[in-house]
Amino acid sequence: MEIQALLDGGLDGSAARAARAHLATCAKCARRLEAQTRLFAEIESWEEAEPPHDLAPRVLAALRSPSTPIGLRWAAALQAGLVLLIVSLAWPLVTNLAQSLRLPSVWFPATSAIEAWLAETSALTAALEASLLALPDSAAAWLRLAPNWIAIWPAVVAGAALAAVVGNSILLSGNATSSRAARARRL
Amino acid sequence: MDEASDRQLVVRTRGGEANAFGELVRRYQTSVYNVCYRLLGDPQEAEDLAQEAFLRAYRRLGSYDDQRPFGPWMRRVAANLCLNALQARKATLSFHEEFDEIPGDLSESPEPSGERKEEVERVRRALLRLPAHYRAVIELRHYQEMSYDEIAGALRIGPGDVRTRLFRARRMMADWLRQNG
Repeated sequence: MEIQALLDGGLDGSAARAARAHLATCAKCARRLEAQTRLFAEIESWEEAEPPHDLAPRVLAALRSPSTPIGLRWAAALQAGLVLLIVSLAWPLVTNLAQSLRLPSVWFPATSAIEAWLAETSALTAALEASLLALPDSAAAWLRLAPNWIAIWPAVVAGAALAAVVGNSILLSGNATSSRAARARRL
Repeated sequence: MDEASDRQLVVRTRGGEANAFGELVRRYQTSVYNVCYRLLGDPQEAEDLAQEAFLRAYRRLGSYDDQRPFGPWMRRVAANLCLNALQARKATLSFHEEFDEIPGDLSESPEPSGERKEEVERVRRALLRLPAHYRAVIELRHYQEMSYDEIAGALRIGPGDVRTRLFRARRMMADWLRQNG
């Protein structure tokens, strides 16, 4: 291993001098040095292969092709997660509405769900108006409202998440466009 | 007009001039391609990985210290990429398959003709028979002419490990070359 280290230039000054002094007096190690030198030359005898002529143009072409920045990929993943959140939060509300309408299954037409949703919202609005009118008795009014709030909380969260998804989509769209434009300007 | 230095080309690339990076690719495509070719053994795969290495370098140009030479950094990017590819390949092959497999055919390779061809083939086969971590140290020491410390830094191993791996790799190559001389 020391002979190889000597040939590699991996020995420091004093170690290299000591190794050379030993090689000058030891025929066996001198033969090893000769064999290692031949091996090194053999290993390095492989001439460099020419790369394909179109390598540089291909690299430049690949640089010019648009790719999705990693930030946008994360944002898209976040958006997909929010969609799942919306669906899972809205699902109990939808099934509750379906049960309150005494429909045979949850696979009712979408229009019925919307009508039920509007009816529920109207009831909430009326309750809110009533509570505002009865501000002096606000404590009692809020207590009366409580069941309504509990019933629609998934809808509130789902609505907020939906708003986030819409906003995120607009931002993603804007970012992707400006990213492509910037890349085009760069190239 | 004098040729732009690597550093100037890097600065211009960072400034958004992709053609400056194209010049860097032209300067280093031979050495990068050969790193990939020697490590992977397959011309087509080497071509793909060489291209990917340049793309990776372009994306990571922000982390490159332009006070240091570009060539070794670029070849290190290529070597790391190829080592990752070899690791992934190893995960899908048994030991014997990996050890016995010689990717590609010499007739496909852009290698010299004549008397040297036989010698080139022997060395190539001997090199490709080495396990990936031995092949890497041979590549970096003999073909990239890196020091032990540079190899240790590139492969994130200790200098002592570099010496040991080089010793074992050369012994394996010497044995094979002697048996197939």
